[in-house]
Amino acid sequence: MKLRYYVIIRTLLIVPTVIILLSTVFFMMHIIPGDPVRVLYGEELPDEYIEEIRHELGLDRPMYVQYLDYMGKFFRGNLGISFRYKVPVWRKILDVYPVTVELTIGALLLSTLMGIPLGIFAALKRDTFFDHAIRGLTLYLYSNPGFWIALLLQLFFGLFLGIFPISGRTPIAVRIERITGLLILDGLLAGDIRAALEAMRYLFLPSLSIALSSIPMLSRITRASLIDVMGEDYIKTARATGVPERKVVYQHALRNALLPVITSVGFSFAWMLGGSTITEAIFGLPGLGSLLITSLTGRDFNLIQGIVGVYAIVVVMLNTVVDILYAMVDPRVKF
Amino acid sequence: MGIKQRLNESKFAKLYKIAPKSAKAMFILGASLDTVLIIFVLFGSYLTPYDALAFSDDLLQPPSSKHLMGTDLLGRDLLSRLIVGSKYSLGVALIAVGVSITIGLFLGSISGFFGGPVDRILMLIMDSLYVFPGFIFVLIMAVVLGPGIWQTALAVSFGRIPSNFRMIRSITLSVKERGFIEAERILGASNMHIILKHIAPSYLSILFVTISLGLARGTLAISGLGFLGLGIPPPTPEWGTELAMGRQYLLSGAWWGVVFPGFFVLIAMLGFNLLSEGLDAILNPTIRRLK
Repeated sequence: MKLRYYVIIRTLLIVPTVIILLSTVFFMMHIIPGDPVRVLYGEELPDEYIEEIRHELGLDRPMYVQYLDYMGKFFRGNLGISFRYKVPVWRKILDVYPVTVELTIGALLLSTLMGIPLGIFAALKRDTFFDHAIRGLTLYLYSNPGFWIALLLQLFFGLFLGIFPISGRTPIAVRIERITGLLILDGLLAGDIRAALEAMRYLFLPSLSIALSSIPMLSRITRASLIDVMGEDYIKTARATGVPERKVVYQHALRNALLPVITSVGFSFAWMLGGSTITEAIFGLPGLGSLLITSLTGRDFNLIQGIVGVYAIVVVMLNTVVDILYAMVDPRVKF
Repeated sequence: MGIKQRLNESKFAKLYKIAPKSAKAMFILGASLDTVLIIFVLFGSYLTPYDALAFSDDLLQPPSSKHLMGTDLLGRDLLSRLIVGSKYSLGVALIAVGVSITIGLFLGSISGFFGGPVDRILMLIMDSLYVFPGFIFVLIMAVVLGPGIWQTALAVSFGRIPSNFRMIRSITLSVKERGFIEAERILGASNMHIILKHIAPSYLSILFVTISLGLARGTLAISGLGFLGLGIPPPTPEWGTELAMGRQYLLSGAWWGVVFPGFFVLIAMLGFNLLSEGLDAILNPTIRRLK
């Protein structure tokens, strides 16, 4: 199959994948016994009012009508109105998404900066004490519950040492004009370096707590892939022609070894989105994750579906882009 | 050792002998941690120094010789609560793993064995669910089902189905293509016979690895739900629920309420991860070189 067809098919597959994810969530929530109207307005409200509100929200229609209506509107960009906040869902999502974007980018940066070098080091020192030590360390990190790490970081750096703030995005005194919503970027755009640095300081602990749990995967894939590549013939050729070992590793081997690592970024990203829900709640960050949790407990159907829809589109698109890039870069990939 | 004795050795014992030292070490360490935890699950309430639910006058005491892990705001002994809590955090994870593996086995073997449109539809659905962060599904499911032990187990099992399905399907596919299956077919063996006699045994080698890995992930998800107040509700001393309670008085300096519940989760996950990794290295000696 030609690359062009592969790209087209993968891109088209985004649609059914997103539909399946949205449908799963839709049916999961509509099969539940709990009534969102009761949750929102309390148990005391008389039945006739409840019925009226249900009618207004369209919840009294047959499920398949609600489903088709929802899906139709979703793909036309209409995510409905939040039951709780009474504003369009997309507006609520636009309000908070920069927080999550900042958090996951921070986490992704920290985890690649630590995970890949660890993996390279382990591969080069294969089967020595260092390799085993790194293996033990990654297994340990992998076994740490993320929310516990977050609390321990708060306890140690925030309460005990007092060098990092444990909650929020900026100090109250610092105000950053919203341009993109990404505080660090906005601070820089406004020329206010100090504010940007402050925002970075606030972002550090939450990002780190997410990063720590995805370092193990990155470092292991890097290690396995580099060991694999170092056994290839072209590495032997390079060595035989007298290329210095440093150059062999960093120029010849690493370039190819990092390919599978890049594909795992898509997977890491999904993992981080999952982790960001609890992390945002712990660090008091008003992002998509904490919005999801409050909308879940408040049974805000439209908002839940909207957030899941956004997550689904982002994750599926990212995976598709990564797969396509991989296929373009690596001519051995069979479609 | 005589040849006869050697023939009688189980397959596992043979593989264990040729396994590298690191794999054996991980296996033994993981197995011993898990044994302790399983003892806690089965006999927890007989082993505790105090009644896990009993109040006392020692409110919010730091760890001491009297209360090794301190007490909570109601004067309950934290160590006792966490030992009893194993039954909930791990016991529920066990149920969740059982459910998800049963469903994964059923769907995965059907999909892999019969192929065709059923396989394609199942694959599309499972692949879609697989790319999505599993914990978010678990969260939604937990809210949908409400708090409680069985509800939590079901919610957590749901998050594990896609990866179990993929694993079982790929094994089924690889066994199905082998020559001896073809030979069995020519001899007139039924599908049922082939599945039970030839394909099912091949699941065994990964089943224990999958169970162990599932227990690690399950424990994490259960305590995560408990932490968010969406899992097993108090006063049941589930680890995540305890952690959430401990967090409330973290600012007043009571670090033990956060440190010890998380430590139990860590030990459980470490135990299961070590076990699954060690088992994997022992049972699959051929792929060892690559790792």
